[in-house]
Amino acid sequence: MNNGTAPIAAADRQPSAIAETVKSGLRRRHASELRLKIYGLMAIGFALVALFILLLSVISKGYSAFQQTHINLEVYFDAAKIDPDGTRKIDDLRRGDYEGVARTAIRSAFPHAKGRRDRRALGKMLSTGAADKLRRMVLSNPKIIGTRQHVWLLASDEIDMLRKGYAKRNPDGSATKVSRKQVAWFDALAKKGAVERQFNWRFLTGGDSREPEQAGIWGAVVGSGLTMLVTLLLAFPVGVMAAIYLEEFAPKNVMHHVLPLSMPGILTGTIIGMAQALGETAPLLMVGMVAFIVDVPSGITDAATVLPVQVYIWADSPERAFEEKTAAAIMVLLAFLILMNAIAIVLRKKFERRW
Amino acid sequence: MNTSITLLVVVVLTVIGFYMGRRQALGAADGLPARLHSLPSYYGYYVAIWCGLPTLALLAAWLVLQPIIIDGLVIGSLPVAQQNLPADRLGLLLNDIRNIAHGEAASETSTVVVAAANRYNELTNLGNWMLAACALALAAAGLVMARNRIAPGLRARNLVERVLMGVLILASLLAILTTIGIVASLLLESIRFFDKIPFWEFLFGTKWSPQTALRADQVGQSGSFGAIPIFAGTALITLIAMTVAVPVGLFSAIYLSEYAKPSVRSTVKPIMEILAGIPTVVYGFFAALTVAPVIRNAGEAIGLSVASESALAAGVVMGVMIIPFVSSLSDDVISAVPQSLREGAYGLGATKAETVRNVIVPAALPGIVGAVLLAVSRAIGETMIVVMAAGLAANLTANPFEAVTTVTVQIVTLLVGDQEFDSAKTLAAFALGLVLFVFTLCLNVIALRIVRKYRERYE
Amino acid sequence: MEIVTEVPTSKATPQIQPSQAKITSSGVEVFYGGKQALKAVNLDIIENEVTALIGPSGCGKSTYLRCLNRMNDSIESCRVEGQILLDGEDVYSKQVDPVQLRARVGMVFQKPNPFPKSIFDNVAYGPRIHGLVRDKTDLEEIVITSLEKAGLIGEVRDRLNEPGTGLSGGQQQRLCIARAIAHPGLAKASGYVSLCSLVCGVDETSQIFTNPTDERTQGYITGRFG
Repeated sequence: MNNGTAPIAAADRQPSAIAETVKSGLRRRHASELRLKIYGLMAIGFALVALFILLLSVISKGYSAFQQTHINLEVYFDAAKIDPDGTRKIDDLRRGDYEGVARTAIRSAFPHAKGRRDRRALGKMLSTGAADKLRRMVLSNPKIIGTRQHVWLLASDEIDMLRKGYAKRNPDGSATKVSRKQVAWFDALAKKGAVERQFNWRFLTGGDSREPEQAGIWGAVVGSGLTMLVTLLLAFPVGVMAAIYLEEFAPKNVMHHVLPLSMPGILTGTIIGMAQALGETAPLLMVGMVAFIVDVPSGITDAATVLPVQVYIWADSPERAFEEKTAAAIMVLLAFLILMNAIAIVLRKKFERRW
Repeated sequence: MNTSITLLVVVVLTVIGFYMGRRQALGAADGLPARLHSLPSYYGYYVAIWCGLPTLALLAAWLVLQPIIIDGLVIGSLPVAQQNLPADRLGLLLNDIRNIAHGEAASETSTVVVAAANRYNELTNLGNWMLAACALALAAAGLVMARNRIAPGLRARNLVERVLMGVLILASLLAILTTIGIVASLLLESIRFFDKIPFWEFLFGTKWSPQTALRADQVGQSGSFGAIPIFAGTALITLIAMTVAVPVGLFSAIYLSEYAKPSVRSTVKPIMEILAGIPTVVYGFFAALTVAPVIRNAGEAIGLSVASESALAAGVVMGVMIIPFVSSLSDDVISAVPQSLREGAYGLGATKAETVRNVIVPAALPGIVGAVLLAVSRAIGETMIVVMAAGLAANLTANPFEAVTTVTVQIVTLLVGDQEFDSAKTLAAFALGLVLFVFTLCLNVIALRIVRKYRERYE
Repeated sequence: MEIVTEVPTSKATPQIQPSQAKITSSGVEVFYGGKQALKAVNLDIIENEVTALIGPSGCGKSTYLRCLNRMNDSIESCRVEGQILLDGEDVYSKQVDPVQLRARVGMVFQKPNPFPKSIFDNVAYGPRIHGLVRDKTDLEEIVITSLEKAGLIGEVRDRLNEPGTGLSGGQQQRLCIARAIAHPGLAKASGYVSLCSLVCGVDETSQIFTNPTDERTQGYITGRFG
C-alpha cells in the first residue's frame, strides 16, 4: 500500500499527516476505480459488439439470397422440341424438351459460339429451373408454341455469384467457377440490360434443392411449424387439465389469484421453451433428421426437415451459392424466434397489466 | 369404423357422463349441495372417470396388440413356403403386404402377397369394428354403473383425488424412467464397447482412429480407440471458450450490478441475453464462415499457419455464446451479497472498485466458481458449434491454431450415417457419451452444491 | 422529527476543555423518492462529547447519521437537502470527495457486517486501503490496539487468521467496532474526527464509546437507550 508519500507509523500519526496521506492516495485509487469501470464497459461492449457482428455477418451474407439473377432471352417455343408428335395433349406437353428450348435460346443469343464446348458452356449459364419456367408457360398457354417470346430465365448459381460479385474475377478474364468466355458472354448480356436480379419468390415458397439457385426454405418452415404444432397438441391437454383441476377442485382464491398470476408465467414459459426447441439441432442430427427433402410436407406424417437442420445442411454444402442461402435461412429462423419471443413479451405485459 | 372416431365418441361420452353425474348428484340431494359428501362436480368427474378411464386403457392396449395379432394371422394364412422363410425375409414380405394394403408401392406384387394384403385389410377392418363395439360397450357400462352408484353419501372426491394422484405419479414416473432409460442404454452399450476395447486403453490411449475394417481382408484398418486426443481437444476448446466467457461475463456482471443505472441495466441485460437465445447452429455458421476465415487471414498476415478449422475459431465463438450464461449467474450471486457488506466497506472509505475487489468478489466467489463450473459443463457438451467449425482429426496438441476434435463431434460423426449397431466404431460413441455424461454430471453436482452452500450462508 | 437530542458530557472529563461544534447540521431534510424521511434537523455535535440520538425504531436516527458521511449517496432515490458542516466545510459541496470524507467520518452499523476475510484483515482494512500502513509491525500494532479498545482481543488473540464471519453475533459487532477504531480517522489523538456508531443492544460498546479518555467526537445512537 505504498502510494508516493511515506506512510506514517500508527504511533506518530498526526491528523494533518493522516489527511495528507489519505489525500495523496486518492488519485491512484480513483484511477483504479475508473479502470474497473472501463473493464466492465469493455466487457459489455465486447458482448454487444459480438452480437452486432454476428447479426451483421448473417444479414450481410444473407440479404442477397432474397434476389436471384435472371437473364432475358428471346425464346423460340419450338413445336418440334416441345410437342414433336403435335398432339397438344397436356401429358405430351409436360414431357417436352424444355431444356433444349432454353439452351437454344441462349445459344441463339450468341451465334458466334460454334464449338461443342462453347455451346455447352453457354447452356450451363442457365439453371435447370429455366426449363421448368418454360414448361409452366406452355402448360398454362399452349398457344405460345411456335412463337418467339422475351422471357426472364433463371441463371445458374455460378452466374448468380458472378452477378452478385461473390465470384472473384481473375486477371485473365475468367472468374471463380466461371470460364473466360462465360464471363464475356455474361458481360455482353449485362450490357444489353438482359441481366437482372429479381425477387427470389422461390426461396420463400419452395422446398430444398440440390441447385442453390432453386433452393427454398418453405419446406423447412412448414416442417418446423408442424413440429411445433405436434408439441403444442401434446402439451395442450395437460395445460387444459391443469386449468380444469384448478377451476373445479381448488379453493376459489386459488382460481382467482394463483392461476391468473401464474398464467403469464406458464404462457411465456411455454412459448420461450418452444422457441428454444425451434432452434435445437444436435438431437435431430442424431436421430437422422438430416435428410435432403425437396417436397413441402403436407401433414405430420410426411418426411420433413426443420429450419435449423436446413441451415446445417446448407452450411455443409460446398457450393459458394449455398452460403448466402444459409445466412438467409438463419434470417428466417431468427425472425421466427423474434416473433415468438415478442409474443411472449406481449402476453406477459398484457397479463401483468390486468393483475 | 375409424379408431379416431371411436376415440372421439368415447371423449364425448365422458363429457356427457360428467354432466349427467353432476345433475344426478344434485337430484339425489334434492338440489341442496350441502347434503352431498363432495361438491357436485366431483360426482361428475366420478362418472367421467368410470366412463373414460377403462375405455381409454382398453383403446391403448388394443392399439398395441392389434398389429401383432393381425401380423400373426396374416402370416398364418400364407402358404407354407412363405411361412418358413427366414425372419428377415419374412419381415420384408410383411412390409410389402402392409404397403399394398395401404395402397403404396411395394417391391413384390405376386398374387400371394396381394391376397395376403386383402386379408390384412379385412382383419384390420374387423379389428377396428370390434374395438369400436367393445369400447362403446365398456364406456356405456361404466357410465351406467357409476350413475347407479351415485348417492349423497358416495365419497366421490376421494376417488377423483386418488385417480388424479395416480396421473401425477405416472407423469413424474415417466420423467424419471426416461432418465433411467438413457443412463441404462449408455451403460449397456458402453459395457459392450469395453468388451471389445479395454477400458484403460480407451481412457488413456493416445491414438484415435475409429475406422474399423468393413471386410476382414482389409489392411491397416484395425481401428484404435485411445480417447486422450479427443479429451485434450475438448479441453483446449473449452479453455479457449472460458478465456473469453469468464472475464467478459464477470466484468459485465460487476459493471451491471455495481455501476450501471437501473435503466441501463434493464436495457443491456436483455440484449446480452439475446446471445443465449440464438440457436447454436447459427453460432456454428458464424464460427465456420465468418470467424474462422478472419483468424486464418490474420494468422497468415503475421506469418502463422492457421488451420481453417482451428480450435481458436470454435472456442472463441463458443465463449461468446456462454457470456450471458456466466454474466447472469454471476450477476445473481453478486446481487445476493448483502448490502450491509458494501456499506461496511463504503463506510470505511473504500472506493467502489476496492469494495468489489476486496469484499464483493471474495464474498461471491463460491457462487462465481459455481457459475463458471456450470458454464464449463455447458461448453463441454456443446455440439453444433464444434460440429460445424472444429475439425474431425484427433490431434494431440495444445496449439489453438491447429484443428482438434471434441467428444461431441466424435459422437455425432460416429453415429450419423449408416452404421452397424454392434461395431466398435458405433459403440465407441456410447462410451464417449458415458464419459461426457459422468463428467458433466459431476461438474453440475459440484457447481450446484457450491452455489447452494453459498446461498445458505447469506439467507 | 422525533429525534431527541441529549448531550451527556461525561462526568469524568475534567481535563477536556469545552469546545465548539464539530459538526453543524442545519435544516437537514432527506427524501426517499417522494417520501420524506427527515424533516428540518438542526443539530450541533460538539467535539469530545458523546452525543446520543434516542428514538423509536424507524424515526430517522440512522438516516441522519448516514447523511454525515454521505452514505446515502449510494441510494439512487435518496435526496438530501439542507447543510451539514464538518469543521466548517460543507460535506455535500462538490469539492468534497466522499472517499476522503469517510476516511474522516467512520461508521459502525446496527447489524454486524464483517467482511469475508480473517479477523486480522477485517481490522486492518481501513488503514490498508487508505495507505496508512508503513510496515507489518505497524499494522499489527494498529490491529491489536483496536481489538483491545473494542474489548475483543482476549477472545481472538490466538485466532486472528480465522474468518471474521465465524464469530458469534456480539463478537462480530465488536469486530466491526474494532474495524472502525482502526480506521485512519479514528487513530490515536486525531481529535478532529467524528465516529458515528449505530449500535443496538451491545452493552459493552456503550462503555467503549463513553470512555472519557477517548478524545473523539462521537455520535452514538441506540434504539433502546434509556
